[in-house]
Amino acid sequence: MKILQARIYGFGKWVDYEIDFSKHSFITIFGHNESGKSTLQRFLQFMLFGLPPKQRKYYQPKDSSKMGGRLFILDTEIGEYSIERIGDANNGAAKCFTPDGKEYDESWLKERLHSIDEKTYRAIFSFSAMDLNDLQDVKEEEISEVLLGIGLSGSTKIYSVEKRLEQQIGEFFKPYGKNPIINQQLQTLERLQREIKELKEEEAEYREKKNAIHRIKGDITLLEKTIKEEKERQFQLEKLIQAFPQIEEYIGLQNRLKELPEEFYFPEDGMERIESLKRELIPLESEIKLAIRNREIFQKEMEKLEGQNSEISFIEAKKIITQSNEYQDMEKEKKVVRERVDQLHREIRSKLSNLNLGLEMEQLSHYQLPFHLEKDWNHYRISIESITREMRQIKENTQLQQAKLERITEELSRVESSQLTADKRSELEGILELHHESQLLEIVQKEHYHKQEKWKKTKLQKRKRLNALWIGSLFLGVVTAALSFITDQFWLINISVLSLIVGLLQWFLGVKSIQNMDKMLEPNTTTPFRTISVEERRSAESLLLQEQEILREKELLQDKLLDTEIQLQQLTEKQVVIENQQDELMERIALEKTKYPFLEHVDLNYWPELYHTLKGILDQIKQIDELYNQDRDISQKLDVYHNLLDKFIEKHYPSSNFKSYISKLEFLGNEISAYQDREQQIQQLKIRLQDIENQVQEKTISYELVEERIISLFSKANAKDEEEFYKRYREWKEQTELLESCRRIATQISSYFTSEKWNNIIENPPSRSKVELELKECVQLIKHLEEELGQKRQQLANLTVELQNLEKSESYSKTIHVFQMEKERLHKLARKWAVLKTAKELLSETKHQYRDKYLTRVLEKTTQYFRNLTDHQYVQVFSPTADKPFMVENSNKIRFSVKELSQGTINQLYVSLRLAISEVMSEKFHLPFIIDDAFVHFDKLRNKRMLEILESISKNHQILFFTCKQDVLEEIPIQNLVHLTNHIPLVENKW
Amino acid sequence: MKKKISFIHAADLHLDSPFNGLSDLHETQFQEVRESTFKALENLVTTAIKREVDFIVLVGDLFDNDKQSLKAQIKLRNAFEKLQAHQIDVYVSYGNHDYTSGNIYPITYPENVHIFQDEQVRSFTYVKDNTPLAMIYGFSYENRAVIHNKAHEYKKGDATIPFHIAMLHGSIESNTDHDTYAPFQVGQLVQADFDYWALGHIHKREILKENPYIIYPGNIQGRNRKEIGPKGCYYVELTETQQLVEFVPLQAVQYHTLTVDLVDCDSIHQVEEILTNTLKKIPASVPQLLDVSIRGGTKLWEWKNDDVLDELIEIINESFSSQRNWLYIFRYSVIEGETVHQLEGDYFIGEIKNKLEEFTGGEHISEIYQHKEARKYLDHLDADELKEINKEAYELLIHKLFQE
Repeated sequence: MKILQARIYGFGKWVDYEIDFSKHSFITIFGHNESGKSTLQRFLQFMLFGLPPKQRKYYQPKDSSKMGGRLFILDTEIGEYSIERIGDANNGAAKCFTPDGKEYDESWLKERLHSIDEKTYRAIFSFSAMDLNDLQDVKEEEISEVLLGIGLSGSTKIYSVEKRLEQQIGEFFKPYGKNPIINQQLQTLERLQREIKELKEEEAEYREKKNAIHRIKGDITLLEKTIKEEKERQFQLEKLIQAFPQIEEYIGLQNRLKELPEEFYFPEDGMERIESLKRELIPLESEIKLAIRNREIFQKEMEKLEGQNSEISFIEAKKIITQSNEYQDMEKEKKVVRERVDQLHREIRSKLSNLNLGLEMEQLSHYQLPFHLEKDWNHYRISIESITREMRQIKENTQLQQAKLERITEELSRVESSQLTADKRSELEGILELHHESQLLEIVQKEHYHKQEKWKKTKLQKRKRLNALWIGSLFLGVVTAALSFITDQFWLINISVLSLIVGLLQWFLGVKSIQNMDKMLEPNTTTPFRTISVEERRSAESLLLQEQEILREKELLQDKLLDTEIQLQQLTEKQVVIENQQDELMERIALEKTKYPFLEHVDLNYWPELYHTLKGILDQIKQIDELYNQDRDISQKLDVYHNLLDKFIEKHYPSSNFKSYISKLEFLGNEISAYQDREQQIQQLKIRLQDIENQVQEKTISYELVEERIISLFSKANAKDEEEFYKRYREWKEQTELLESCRRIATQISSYFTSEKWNNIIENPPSRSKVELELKECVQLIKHLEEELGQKRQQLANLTVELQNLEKSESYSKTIHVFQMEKERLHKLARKWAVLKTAKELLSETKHQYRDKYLTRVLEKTTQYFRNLTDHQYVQVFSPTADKPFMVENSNKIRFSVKELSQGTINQLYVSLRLAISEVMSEKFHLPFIIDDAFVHFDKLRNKRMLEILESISKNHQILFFTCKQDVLEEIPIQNLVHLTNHIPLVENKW
Repeated sequence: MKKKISFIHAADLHLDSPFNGLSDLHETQFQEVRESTFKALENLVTTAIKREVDFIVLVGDLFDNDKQSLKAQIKLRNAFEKLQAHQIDVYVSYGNHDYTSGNIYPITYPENVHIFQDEQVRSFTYVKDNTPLAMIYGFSYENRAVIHNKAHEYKKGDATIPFHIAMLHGSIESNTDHDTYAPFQVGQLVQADFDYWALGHIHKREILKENPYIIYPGNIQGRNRKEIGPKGCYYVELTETQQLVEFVPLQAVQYHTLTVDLVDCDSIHQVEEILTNTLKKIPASVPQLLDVSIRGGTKLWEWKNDDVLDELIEIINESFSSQRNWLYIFRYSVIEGETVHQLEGDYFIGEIKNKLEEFTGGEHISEIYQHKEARKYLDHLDADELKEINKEAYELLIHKLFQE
């Protein structure tokens, strides 16, 4: 990049000023102090990078309102363009104009300047005498670093920053330190970690403690059990000692018991039971005796009553009394019968008088009226009536038939007169027959014709067939003949001849049959016959029909006449039969009248009624007879009864004298009731006797039962009699008392000893002294065990407390939280440290890389410039190493460190370094150098050398060199020089 | 009568497990943080009693075997005893942190606690008024890990019992953010036809599916800066026709993240004012642990690099420490910090930037992270943390080089 021209509209003291830098790439701008050199530099910077508002205000010209200007630039990439900034317009922002007329803004410009800002630009591309003054302040040992810093970024801060960071890092952490924060934190963590471990172990004891508690609890249970057992034993022993007197007594009792029979049984409450049974026997005995006495009394009484009753025949008397009722009924019946007889007599007499036939009852009773009589009499009456009626009817019919006969005869004669003659009829019949024959002949002819036609066709076919057959056989014959000749098989000739013969025969037979058929069907010649006209035929037919009709009528009439005659004959016969019947009947009536003379005076018609009346009377007479019989029977029975009664009375009560049957019966009734009373008394006595008998039996059984029980008691007690029983009782009582005493003692000690143990004691009675010794030992053991139990309980209590404390303790929990928090703190600190460390490392590494990248070349250039400037007094510059700062080597190969150099030489080195840096840097950026009297302390010679160097640099870079030194001008070609004066015209250097 | 059960589903109690990322807490704050898991457990018990639930299911990681304290065990037992007094049953399965072989304390739990003892999927029957109402299925980790799929081992039992609840401590097969234990697929769980899947292991609560509900209740107390917001359990009510779930917060201390915009601040006093006001506006029913992201410009970086920001945060923490529901900024980070771009042109800065790109392995800080003593306590730094450190280092360096 090259600055071509600067046009100032107004900036500081410069108003409407234009300056051209395009002619040469190394331009020296000369001006005295206060000639506006710095302002111009500022202007250039303003144009390129802008200025803050305050600075802009500072450079506002006093005598002009204009502020700003335009800078013309030549860019290697895009060619010429201009930058314009005007005062506060757009806040001092730039406007860029390219040759193609386009306008760009600040950011475009920034891009063109490779984002280099004013500060960087000043650090790298511009330097002044002021920079060298700064150098004076730097401590000698730091010069190397400062120089490096300048060499790297133009900043002097790298060194101090790095130092500061390192210090901070050290405050935070040292790998082997103790005091830095992180190291201390690590120690804290270490401590906490240990604490946690301890606490954890402590908490781990929890499990052990729990187990211990469990174990101790088990021990305690066991101890408590043992103590309980031992105490039990102690108690037993004590009791044993107490029980010694009883034991002795018991043994004594047992010995006495042994004297008594071993197997002993006495019934339960035996004595009481015997006494009570005896008490039961006494009343039973007296009751039985009383009952027997009563039985005798009742028996006597009964015998007396039975004697009384045996005197009377009770059954007979009872029978008579029973029959007395029957007897009374009979008496009544007899009376009724007699009354009835009288009444019937009266009725018969009145009926007979009503008939008025002169018949008496006695007469009538002689007549028999058989059962058929009524029918007979009735039959006579009806027969007479029917005969009379039939006779009248026959008479009427005969008359009717005779009239009919006459009428038919008349009709017959009329029919006979209208009949045809026999000749006439035969003629008519001939005509009809002739007609019939002619019709038949016609039909036969038609049929014959049809058959002939059919035959003609058949014949033709037959002929053809015959011919074919013939030709076939002929052919066969010829062939076989030929074959026989060819083959010389002569038997084939036979076949040929045979076939020819067969063929010929067939043909002949065929022709013959055809001829026969022809003959048969020859048409027969028809014979002619006479024909009959139609009218003739019809009249003949009708006449014949009429004749037939008349014949039929005549036959009918003849039949009728015959019938009538027969009927007349029949009627006459019937009349004769009826007359005979009448005669016979009359004879029989007469017979009846002789049999029953009273009928003479009675018309036949009333006979049936008479029969009825007579029949009724006869029945009544019969009734009377029956009633008489009845009366007789009753009287007989009554007599028998009276006899019986009388006989009984006489037999049993001969002294008595009764007048009537009634009184007799009454007496008899009384006797019977007295008998019955006695009988009842006997029955009652019998019942009572039975009761007493039962009582006696019952009591006897009871008595026996009691006796049995007494005996069984005896046998149970193993006693034969009462005496022995009482003895057994005494023995039993003694044994019981002994056992009771033993039991009492056993009961007293049963609360202390089990039965088993007691038995043991009794069998082997222990010695008192031995027991006492044992007791003593036991008491001692208990005491010992109780002490142990107390200890265990204490242990348990302690452990429980410890466990509870553990459960309550939060120290582990708390410590892990603290630990975690402290860890976090460490983490934070470490992070802070990491940031510092990273920053530091970043800085130093960048620095190293930077140096590696540029320093070699910077040093080459520096050496070159430094050598030129010192006129080869110094020939080599060495970059600083880890422990060494910058070194320079003089022509005598002697090396000096920077601080050993004089100020002037340091200045030269510095300038060389700056130039070298700028040059190296601008290889990348190609920005113009702005140098402001950097060589103010240089003498003429050195200046000259300096200018030579600049001259050579300017081949690649534009250099704007501001100076106020007159002697410099001498070294500079005039065309490269710009004079700044207070009265410089707007446009200068027109050359 | 309509059949109904209600229960509480919680998991990952991590009782007495220390918090990550907290340091320099005030003593009372430290106490509260330390007690927070127990306080959350207490809240759980109180909730169960208040809502008169039938039982509680605890799906693993009740405590950490690695940092197990007796206190955790005792507190847990006490909680169970309290539940027993209210006739509330507890069904417990152990997870990868409290696996059975690693439990060193022989604590006996009361009889209302039913524990799945081994890795075989088993079941308990919950009986109410002599009627079997629910079957609860589950298994416990016997060792540190169960790596095979357990979902298919869940088989529904007696079908006459109305409700079937499965407890499973594990993660979805595809979830690789966490250690994958007892991996399962949601489809497999749905297929098994249970009425409710009570999951555990993942600390972030999530309803994976409704009908049937498959739920991670999350942990009951957040314990690091990633476990933010309310934490707790699910209250579940099942009837034969309806399923009701409700999240119940239990946390005693809450993690909270917030972003504060400090771009326009010219002075550190303004920063203090804005931060204080923002903090005052946080609705806090429990103490809050704050992770603050600060959006700010160059100035903020300057303050940070000059440790002014650190001091300010300390002052603010002090001022909020005495209130009942205290606030504590345990971490802050500057985000979107505008770097000093006007220096970008600097040759050396460019070189620093390039160099920074190479600083990825953390070798330059291995002096401490690989330190024989220190590395026992320091977690390995991940790439993000390294990046952050690099950024801060860069900012610090620029600041030191050019701003001071």
